[in-house]
Amino acid sequence: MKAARVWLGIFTAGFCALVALLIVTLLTPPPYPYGALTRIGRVSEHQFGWRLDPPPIPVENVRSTPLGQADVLVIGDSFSMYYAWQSVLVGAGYRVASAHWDKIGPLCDDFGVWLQREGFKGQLVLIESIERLLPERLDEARACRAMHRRFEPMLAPGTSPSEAAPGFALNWNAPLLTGLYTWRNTREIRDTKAEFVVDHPQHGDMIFAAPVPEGCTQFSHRMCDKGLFLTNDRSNAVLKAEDAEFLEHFNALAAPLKVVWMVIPNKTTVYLEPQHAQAFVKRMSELNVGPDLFAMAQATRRKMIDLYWPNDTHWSMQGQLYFGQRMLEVVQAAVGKPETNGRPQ
Amino acid sequence: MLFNSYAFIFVFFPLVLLGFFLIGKRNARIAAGFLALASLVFYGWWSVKALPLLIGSICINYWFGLQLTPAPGRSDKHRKRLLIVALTVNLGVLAVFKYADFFVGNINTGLVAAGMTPWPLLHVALPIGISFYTFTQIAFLVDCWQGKVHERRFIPYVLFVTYFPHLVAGPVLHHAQMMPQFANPSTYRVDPNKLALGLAIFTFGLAKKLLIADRMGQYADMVFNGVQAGTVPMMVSSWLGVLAYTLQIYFDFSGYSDMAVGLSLCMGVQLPLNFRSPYKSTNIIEFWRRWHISLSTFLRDYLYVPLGGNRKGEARRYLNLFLTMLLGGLWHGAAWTFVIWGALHGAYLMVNHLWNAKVRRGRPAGKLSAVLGWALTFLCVMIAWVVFRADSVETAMHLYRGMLGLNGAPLATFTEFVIPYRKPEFFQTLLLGVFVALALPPTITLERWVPLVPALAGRPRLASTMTIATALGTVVLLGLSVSRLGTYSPFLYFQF
Repeated sequence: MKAARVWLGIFTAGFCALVALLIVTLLTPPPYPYGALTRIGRVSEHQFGWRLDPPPIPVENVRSTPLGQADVLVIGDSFSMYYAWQSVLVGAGYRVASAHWDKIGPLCDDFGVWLQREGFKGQLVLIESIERLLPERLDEARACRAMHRRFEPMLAPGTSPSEAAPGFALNWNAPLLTGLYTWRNTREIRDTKAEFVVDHPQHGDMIFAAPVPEGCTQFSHRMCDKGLFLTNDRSNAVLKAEDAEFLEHFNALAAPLKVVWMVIPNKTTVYLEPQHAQAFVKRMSELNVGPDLFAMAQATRRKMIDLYWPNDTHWSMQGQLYFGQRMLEVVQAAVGKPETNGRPQ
Repeated sequence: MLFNSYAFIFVFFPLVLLGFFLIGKRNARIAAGFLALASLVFYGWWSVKALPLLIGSICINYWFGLQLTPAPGRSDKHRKRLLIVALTVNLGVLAVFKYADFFVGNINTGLVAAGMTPWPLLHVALPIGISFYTFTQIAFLVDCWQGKVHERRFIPYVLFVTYFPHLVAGPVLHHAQMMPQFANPSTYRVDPNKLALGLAIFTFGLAKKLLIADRMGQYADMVFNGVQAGTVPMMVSSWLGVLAYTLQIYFDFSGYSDMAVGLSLCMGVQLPLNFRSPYKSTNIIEFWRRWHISLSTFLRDYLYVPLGGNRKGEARRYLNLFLTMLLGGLWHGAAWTFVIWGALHGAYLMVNHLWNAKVRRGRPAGKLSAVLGWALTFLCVMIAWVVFRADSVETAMHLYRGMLGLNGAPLATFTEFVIPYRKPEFFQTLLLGVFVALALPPTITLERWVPLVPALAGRPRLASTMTIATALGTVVLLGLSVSRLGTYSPFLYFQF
């Protein structure tokens, strides 16, 4: 009997330690719906979650048009999956179809012919890509002669992507040590004056935290003198001037379709390294293959709090609408206003 | 509520355990009622909608049980008629909820072939645990009819059926094992030895589930779901995928059974052993004496024996064996894949019995033949798991083609699939699983170690050290296992 009591005493002590760990995790707020950096790195959502109410995006503008009826086709990545910046075009009367890079496959020499074969009757294609992934995508495009996949549209979410920050909820679904790791990582970020690479066991993307000069005028989160960033922003290949020239070459191949490139600067480029890929940006502007979103981001990041989400790599909803307005100007300049573009609404 | 959830481990079970013993100290009958109520809460947490069916099933079967028991003035003919009605009601409910769409689907195949309009499917949601609690109560009814049941109070009966450690995924319980334990006053008093052993067995079951079964399951899902989606599996990937599932289903289900046994033991109630290292079996007959023992026993006692067992000649014996396994397969789910799995095992058993009768003739197996027998048995079991796991016969056939090397046999592994986590971790877990399944004794042998090692009775210091070591080891294992919560973790046997 004594042995059993000793055994149970030790077990109970260990169990109490596990209960303490669980309580810490339960009280650690779960990641926001959009919070890739805090989720991947296990960093406090309380400290890095955005706090501004996002602007409303009418759900009737969050919709996709079938390819055969679209004025404008968007080929994009996760920045386009919210259907937020496209909602500005839709709100202005354009019929927009969207597709994801991953579902289209590499863009090839016969892109224009292929798109017409798939049923696109519009005149304008907007090709959106985040800066860090574009070099790899262009390498694939350079090597590709003919498109093989069928067109597959990206489905609209069906709800407005503009959601308020969630309130407090117990974090029942996280692994036991999440609370402890989150507390430890956040403390390290707070106490480290320089950059800090967040150590985490998951393979794949890594994140780092860095001091952001005048951060509190640019972000709404509590620990606003620090920002979270993706290490791939730095480790992936840098866009070069030759890449801009390839974009021009690609556009020529796609004629008579008009192609506009929408290259979105990395969050790291915007807030930490404005000179990153400058040769590409300069050449892109010279060749006029798309709007200079790099310069726009630099001009606006101190005027608009949370141009990019503090806890994520993407534009915030206010950022989406801001850049969406610019893309509306680009579309209007390319194909005219919707009522004058020769197609009934 | 899942056993492998924070809510169960850190809230539900500690509260139930505390409440059970606090109430049991004063009144055993109320404690039994409390445990039955807690079991209904446990079930209702899963699905409140399914709760009325469970309660209705308990009430009607309790009434049937009372009426079936021999008593003055009740004729055997009347009781037999009532038994048939009771069995029909139970099997009818099971048929509607579990097999209706399977039946209609097969009819529709014929109707469509004949150019007729198919019937609409019912799409009835399967109430969790229905197979387990229906079989448990069928056994009770048959035993009532045979006059073997003496406990007639309602609360112990409710507790026997709903007892939460076994309710949703077994073991299939027999009232003769349980009722005397519920009636024993000592059950309601804390026994530190049983509590320690129960916690250790629960922890080891949880570790089997979370540290091995779930890791294997991610790769098994990758292969089977990938093939279902159109990926052509190569030979090595096919075999490894099937081996992953072979380990997943064992560690998943035996882990669940260990947890059930452990939880119950904490409350002083011993559940029957459900697995006894089945993958060590050197023939299929032995495999079925070690795998899902409570179901095998049920099928033997309530299906094989009533069909005539081995009492009606050789040919009839083999037919009974085959039919029992066929229906055992169908018990697992309403799909032809399960029927084929049952038929395969029925055929294996027939061949095994024939071999024993005509070739072996009672001679003991030598070492070499034991090794060959083990390899053949393991191979046969793996082959049968393919059709058991596959969503359709077509997927199973693709896997079989892959295993035969008909899709190519490069040495590379899983290159045709998108892997869920790194391959070295998969192979490490696979080796660990093979080692535990083949080299270690079943979890129940923890009674030789927890809380005291009886073999060290003459060496008190070493015995004390071992007590501390096993306690620390258990709580560390619990921590490691619990740290896996919140990730991929389905329970396989809940769907059956």
